[in-house]
Amino acid sequence: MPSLRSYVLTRFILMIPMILILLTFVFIILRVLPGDPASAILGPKASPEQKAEIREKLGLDKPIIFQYFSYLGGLLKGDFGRSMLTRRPVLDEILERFPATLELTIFSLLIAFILGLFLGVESSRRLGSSFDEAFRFYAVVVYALPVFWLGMMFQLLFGVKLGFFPVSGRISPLMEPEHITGLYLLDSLLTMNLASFLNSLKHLFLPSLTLGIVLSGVFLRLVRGNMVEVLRLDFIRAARARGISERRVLYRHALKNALIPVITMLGLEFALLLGGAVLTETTFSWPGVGTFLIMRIRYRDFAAVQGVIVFYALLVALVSVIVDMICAFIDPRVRY
Amino acid sequence: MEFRGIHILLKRLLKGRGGIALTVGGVILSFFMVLFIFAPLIAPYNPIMPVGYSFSPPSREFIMGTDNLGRDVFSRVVWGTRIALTIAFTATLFAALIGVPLGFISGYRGGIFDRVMSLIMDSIYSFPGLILAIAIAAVLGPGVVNISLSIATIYIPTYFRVVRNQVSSVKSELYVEAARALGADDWTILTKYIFRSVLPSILVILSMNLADAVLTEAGLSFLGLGAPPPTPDWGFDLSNGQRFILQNRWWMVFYPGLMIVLLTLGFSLFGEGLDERFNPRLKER
Repeated sequence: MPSLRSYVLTRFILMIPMILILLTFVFIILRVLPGDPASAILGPKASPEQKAEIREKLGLDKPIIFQYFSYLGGLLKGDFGRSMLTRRPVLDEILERFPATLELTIFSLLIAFILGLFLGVESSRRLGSSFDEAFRFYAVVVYALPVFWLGMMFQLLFGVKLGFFPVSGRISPLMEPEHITGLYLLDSLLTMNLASFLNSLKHLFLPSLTLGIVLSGVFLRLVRGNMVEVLRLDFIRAARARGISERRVLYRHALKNALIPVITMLGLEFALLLGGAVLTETTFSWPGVGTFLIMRIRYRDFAAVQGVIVFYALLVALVSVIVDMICAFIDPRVRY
Repeated sequence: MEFRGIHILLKRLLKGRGGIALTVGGVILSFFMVLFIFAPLIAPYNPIMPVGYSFSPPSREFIMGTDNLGRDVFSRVVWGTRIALTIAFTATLFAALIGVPLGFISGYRGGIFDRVMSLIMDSIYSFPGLILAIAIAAVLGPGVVNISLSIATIYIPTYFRVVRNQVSSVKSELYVEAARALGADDWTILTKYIFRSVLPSILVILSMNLADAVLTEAGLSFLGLGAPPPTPDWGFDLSNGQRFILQNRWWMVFYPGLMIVLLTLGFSLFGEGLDERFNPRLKER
């Protein structure tokens, strides 16, 4: 039987072709398809000399194969290229905004997970009841909600009508905590800055609730489906026969086993989460990687756009490996 | 008598697996089909011309109010059905036209081709679809065809995966072996024996994909990557309306969004119903 270490190693090696394919795909989309980035950057009125100059600067005058390998070689050294707009390294610009995205995604995932877990378990125990039917409907409706529309409805209700929460931004001006990790909640806690903590929590609430609700439907279905399977097994009957309380049977014995397939799905959920985050960030003017991407598309800064897409690709690959490792760690059956 | 006829029809529809989902989804979709076909007759005003004061709240004259340019929100919402459905159908069909044949070849032939194709498709599948569509749409520029293409790209792997897996499991079934033993050629086996067993799954994904495509299209145009203005488009109208949200012009965002929700709901309910009816073993829980 292979050890955990060799499993992890194989998983890492398997990741390489996947990343390479994604990087090639990104290259094809952004470098081969658009025709002439020089005229895209300069606009239709640019002179041929200006275009030639830009092309030389970007290395576009060289053969496409050469460009491809210098792009891959650069990435290998951690060089994501330089922004055409600010002339700064794209990776630096992305990493500045990444904590904001991370904060939003963590909290959305947390909300989705808690909602999905609780509603899924409760539905599975009342199978076929009106509670179960209502939340099956909830899962379908929630999936159909455009995250940006739900965000606007929350802005109208909680921001404009009731005035409970700010409708945009990450924190009020001049309230930023000292920079340690870039995660405002964590930084303000570390520096014991309660005012900043509450202020950023207030800003975080509506965006993460919006994204969390939209994602909760998928979790609900997964948890419910797996719980139904597990609740049929003999060990559940045995636990009940031993007189263990129903809540303990559900949340301790059954949920533990039903959760493994849910965690396996987390990798795919993560892709959904990143896409949703772009829309949520735009809706709430959240200064993360998503708003950065959209802003740079408007400026036609394709170096930055390419950098962001590559960054997302690496992130997705990394998360899928981490998820697999967690699964292998908690469930030895995964490794065979 | 007529009433009883409808009653019996409803009963028949609701009976059986997934009946309720199929019926409700079907009703919603027919509603949108009517809007799609008769948009010019249903919309009371020209959707791209100012017809009243700016920011009129909903009234008898403008049942969903007017936007910042004094255009009728109701007329824009009705006309928006055309863009939404056109792009959703074009994108989905395009994805199916590429993904299904590739899945067939890959699953039927197997070998190196199958392994390479599966690896490529799995890689694309693992990437966040919306972000991929954003990148492609940004490069291709605005326009109905371009948006459809960028949305289609992200669904190709879905068709590929499902069709490939089904074909590779069906091809070793006894009845296919029997057909081969009787001397049927590859083409006959593929079209007559395998395609028939894969078709229900394709229909289910088609419907689910349409739901997703409506959302993706709305997302792209919300981000400013959709059909160019002044085309009536729900996603674009939402981003336009959001600028006036602090002034509480709720009608500019509420109604276009509601349409997106309804149309998506229609497709996904319909897809769920089809799934329950055609793939009963999956739903026996």
